[in-house]
Amino acid sequence: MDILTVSHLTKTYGEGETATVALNDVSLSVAEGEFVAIVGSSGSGKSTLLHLIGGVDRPTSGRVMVNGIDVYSRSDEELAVFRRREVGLVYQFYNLVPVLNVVENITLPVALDGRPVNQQRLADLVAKLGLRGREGHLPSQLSGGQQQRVAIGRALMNAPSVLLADEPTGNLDTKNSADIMQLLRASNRELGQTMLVITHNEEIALAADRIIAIEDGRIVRDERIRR
Amino acid sequence: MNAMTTFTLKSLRANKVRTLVTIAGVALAAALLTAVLTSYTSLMDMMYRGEAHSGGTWQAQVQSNNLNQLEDEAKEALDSGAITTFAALENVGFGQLTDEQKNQIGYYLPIANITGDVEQICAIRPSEGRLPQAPGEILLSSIWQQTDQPVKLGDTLTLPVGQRQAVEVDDESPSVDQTQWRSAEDAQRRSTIEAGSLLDSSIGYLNAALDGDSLNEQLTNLQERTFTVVGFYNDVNYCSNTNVGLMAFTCGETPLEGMTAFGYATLDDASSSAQIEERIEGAFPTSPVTRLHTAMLRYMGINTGGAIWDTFYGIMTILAAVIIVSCVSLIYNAFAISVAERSGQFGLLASVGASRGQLRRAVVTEALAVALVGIPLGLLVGIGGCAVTFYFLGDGIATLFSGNSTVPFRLAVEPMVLAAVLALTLVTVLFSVFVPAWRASRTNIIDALRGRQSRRASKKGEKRAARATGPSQLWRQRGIAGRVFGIGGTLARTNRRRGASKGTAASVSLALAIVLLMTAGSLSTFLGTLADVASGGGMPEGDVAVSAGFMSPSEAKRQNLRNGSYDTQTATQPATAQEAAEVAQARFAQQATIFAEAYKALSAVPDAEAIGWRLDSFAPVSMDASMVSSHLVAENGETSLASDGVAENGKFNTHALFVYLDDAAFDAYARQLGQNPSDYYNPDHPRAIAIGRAYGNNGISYTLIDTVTNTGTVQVTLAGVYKGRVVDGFAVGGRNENGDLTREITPYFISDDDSRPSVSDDEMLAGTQVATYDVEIAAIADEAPAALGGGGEGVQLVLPMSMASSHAFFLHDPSFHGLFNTPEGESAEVAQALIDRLGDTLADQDQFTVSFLYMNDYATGLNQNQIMATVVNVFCLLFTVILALIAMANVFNTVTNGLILRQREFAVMRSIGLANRQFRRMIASECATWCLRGLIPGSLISLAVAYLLYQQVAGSLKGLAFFLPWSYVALAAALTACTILASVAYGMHRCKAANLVEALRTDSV
Repeated sequence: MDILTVSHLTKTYGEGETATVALNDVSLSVAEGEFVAIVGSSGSGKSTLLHLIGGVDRPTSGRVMVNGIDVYSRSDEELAVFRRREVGLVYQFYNLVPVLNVVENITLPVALDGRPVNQQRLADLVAKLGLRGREGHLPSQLSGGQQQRVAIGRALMNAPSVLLADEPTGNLDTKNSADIMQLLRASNRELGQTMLVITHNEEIALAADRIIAIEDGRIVRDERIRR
Repeated sequence: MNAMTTFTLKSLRANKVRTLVTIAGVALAAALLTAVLTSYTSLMDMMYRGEAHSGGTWQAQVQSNNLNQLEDEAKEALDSGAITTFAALENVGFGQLTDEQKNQIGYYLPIANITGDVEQICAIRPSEGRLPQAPGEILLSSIWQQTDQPVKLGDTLTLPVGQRQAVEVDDESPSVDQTQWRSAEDAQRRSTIEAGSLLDSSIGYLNAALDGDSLNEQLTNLQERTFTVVGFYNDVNYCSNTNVGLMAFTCGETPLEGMTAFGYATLDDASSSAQIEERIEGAFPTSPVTRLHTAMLRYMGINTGGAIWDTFYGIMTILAAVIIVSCVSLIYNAFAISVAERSGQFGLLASVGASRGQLRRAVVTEALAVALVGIPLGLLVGIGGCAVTFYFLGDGIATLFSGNSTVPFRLAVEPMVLAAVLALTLVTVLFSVFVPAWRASRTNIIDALRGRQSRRASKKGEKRAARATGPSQLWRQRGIAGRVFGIGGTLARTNRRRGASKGTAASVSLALAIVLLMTAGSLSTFLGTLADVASGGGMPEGDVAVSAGFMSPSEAKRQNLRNGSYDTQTATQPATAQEAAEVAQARFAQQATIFAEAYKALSAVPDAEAIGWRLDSFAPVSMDASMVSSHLVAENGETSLASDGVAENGKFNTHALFVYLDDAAFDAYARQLGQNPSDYYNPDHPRAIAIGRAYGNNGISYTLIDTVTNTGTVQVTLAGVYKGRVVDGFAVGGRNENGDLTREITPYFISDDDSRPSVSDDEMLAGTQVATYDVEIAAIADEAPAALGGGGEGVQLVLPMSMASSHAFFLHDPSFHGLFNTPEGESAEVAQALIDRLGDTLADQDQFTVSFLYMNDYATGLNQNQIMATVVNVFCLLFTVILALIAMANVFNTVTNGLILRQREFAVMRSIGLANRQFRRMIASECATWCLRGLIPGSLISLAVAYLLYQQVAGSLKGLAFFLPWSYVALAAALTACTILASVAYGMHRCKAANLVEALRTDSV
């Protein structure tokens, strides 16, 4: 079953002569539990696609369906709820809240939702992320790899329909990159977490179930990898 | 131009809005400083010109017995540059006046020769005709034109001229216990006089009987002189006025022997009055300095002291301090924000090899570029603003400060002031960029490039974060913020408790806003009070007042005694004091009826709008000393028994003013005080409202004094009968033969009554049967009723008119006062019509003889007050508006930018699901915190500034209680709240408007 359907998605920045088409009539669908790698050169439109799926931006035209719901038919308030429940975002530069400690950063989407924190899930997550003993640390007291693990924890905490990661290892060394990839892969396998990961890293791309290549705002290649 | 400068200028151009805001801040600061200082110099300039016009430009007066020597010294001093100008007045002699002339002109006609530019230096300026140019010509005071036999231009004046000489009085002079007021200087001069001394014009007229010594004076060596009148002068000043009459000026007349000459000199570049004295003494070694022109020196900026001037300087200093602080803050914020916003840029520059010094210089260059445009602009705006304001208010200001507008108030721009503003603003700008420049130079390249510069956690925050991990700690709603604002509040609280930057800039600018607004408020309030009091404060309502009174029995008796028609035998005498009191009350009631009718008649006068009337009467009262203020006790000590003004039985005795208001006005007054008016109409238990505060002026400063402080019962003395005869009156207090105050009250009979009992006052009191009754002071009002005004200093009791018929006083018949409004500009005509009508009405009744009848045209005086109030209000308004603008610009700048700088942080939160509502609540919670953090120190500093201003004003207005101007507190709160709301709304709008995607991007520098 497709958990994510994108149809005829177009995003234009600017107006008139200076208008830039970042995404041009893109359609795709992703099945539940799929691990999709998105590749493309800089400025190809892959980040735009990710943001549009994540409900962070609004498309110029087209539709995004997540878990059977039309994302952009929602109001801003509903969109915020969608972001905290249905998607998890991971960025290259982690984007943690600097004054919140590890567990607070991880559970922020739950807190925003006004629900009690599932302490068991949190403990499992912290253990899985290798952050045990660092629960009270602030982002500034963590290494880049640790920060990215916190970001992934935050993205996974609500068990979202889709986890979206924008070059999650782009800022990390080889060792940390491998760790993060392993973590993402494990989440995908063990939790059945659907994932879209933008990457320049060939190894990561090859670890995915499917690779989508984007150039000039269009999908130029979409292939499944056979294991 | 090096690369950094080019970069700086380019960045200024690229960020037009920010550059313009910063320039506006600098310009506003410079404009405000210019305006305040220019107002000050313009005022001093006007005062200087006013004083020069009316008193002359002389700075020091020297005295000599030898004009030639004085002139020689002056010539030398002028040649050497020791003094810059010189003029002399040489006494010629004292013209003898006829008795009639003496009544109108003075003891003598002092005559003096003029030398030098007396018009400019001594302000001896003909209002008609010209100055004397040859012997035999004379310039007289214009009073001579108004005497019974007016003198005209071209007339010949012949009179004996002589020398004043002190002479011993033959017999022991009868001492008069009436002491003449005399200045210390005068007393000093007199101490050198003995019989036979020749007297100069600086010595007052000697009168042994009045002075209490043994010297009189006479004119000797009289010579007849004839003069042709060539001119008259109007302005009387120190040079033209003497203690024995107004001067007449001649030229080249031969002086009588032993006459004094006075020299008047000015010099340049003096810095203190002591220095002037020293330098003049150096220039005139044989002629002592007898006087300095202190008013002149003060306006020249030479410190000479004086309470009201201390107040003025004090207020100026506080204002300048507040303005400088606010300007520094405004400029600092503008630069700090501008640097913080561009930390990425600085990181980029550093990454391509810019040194710390270069980065610092970039910021300083930017500041200088901004100053180069902003300061001249500010100077222009400040001067322009002053010019416009003065154009509209000039006459008012002139009237306010010099009492007339002959010397117009105009813009006086001092190059020194402009230079000072330039220097001060430049220093402010450089100081303001010092910290941002240092910060810019310390930018961490990597952090800056990654946009991680802002909002790190503090050390304390790390410790707090480390503790908040357990299940019970996580996201528990803590604090008020959490409870009120939900998760938004909790986030804000966490941010506040753990963040390194806690929105201090916002709190500081808020505190400053409150301080600025409250300063403006305190200034307006205290200056307003001062202006109100200084302009006579508490005048009765209405444009015109007409007053009248009937002749009282004692007055009638005095008149009858004088013309021999008084007959002690036939005059009807009540047998007892009680009967006497009843007679008096009946009389009072009759008069009240007559005046009520008269008021009705007056109300029909065309154009006269009746607004109220009252009857005033005095009576001796005795009350517990605890009911009145210590001030009143001290002021009235002489009339009371003990030295502290309180009798041994604890009673305070005084004459109280009883004010009867027409019933409607009284009821309104009572209700205003929260009293039930009907309580005041019980004839068996009379009650009154006492006025608890009054304005006074002791000659040095204005005083707001407490009078009656507590409610209680007052015993009123109504009448007294001594051996079957009604006493004519009572004096309060009384001394025995040893001079000790022993009596609370002393009955008396009018002294030229030959039937006055020849007994001592003590015996008289013992033998007098006195009727008294009690009045209860049931309430105390801070303000006198409008129909009375607030001028009186003493015990004043207000009662309804209906009570006049049952409780009134024998001693003094009441005086009637009717108050009326008139159409603008017609007060004089209407007042005349009113007084005519009142005279006619009172003449129509034949029971009483009219004793006095007069009118007061307040409208003209009020006009003066209104001008003054307008000037003060406009000044305060402008000041408030400018300070409010600065305050609001500052708050807006810091709050808005504080939010915009955190755009990325907000974007992160929103991207993971922070809803708009939660976002708003988080910001609202943060706002509440800034407000609290700004409000508390801001209020404390405001209180301190308000208190300082109060102290300055209280220096001139004794007894002014410290109070907070609550209306301004409310205004400050409202303005600050509005500004915060607007700033936050704008800041949040900017944060939301910015594309989330853009905000999340990390490579945007």
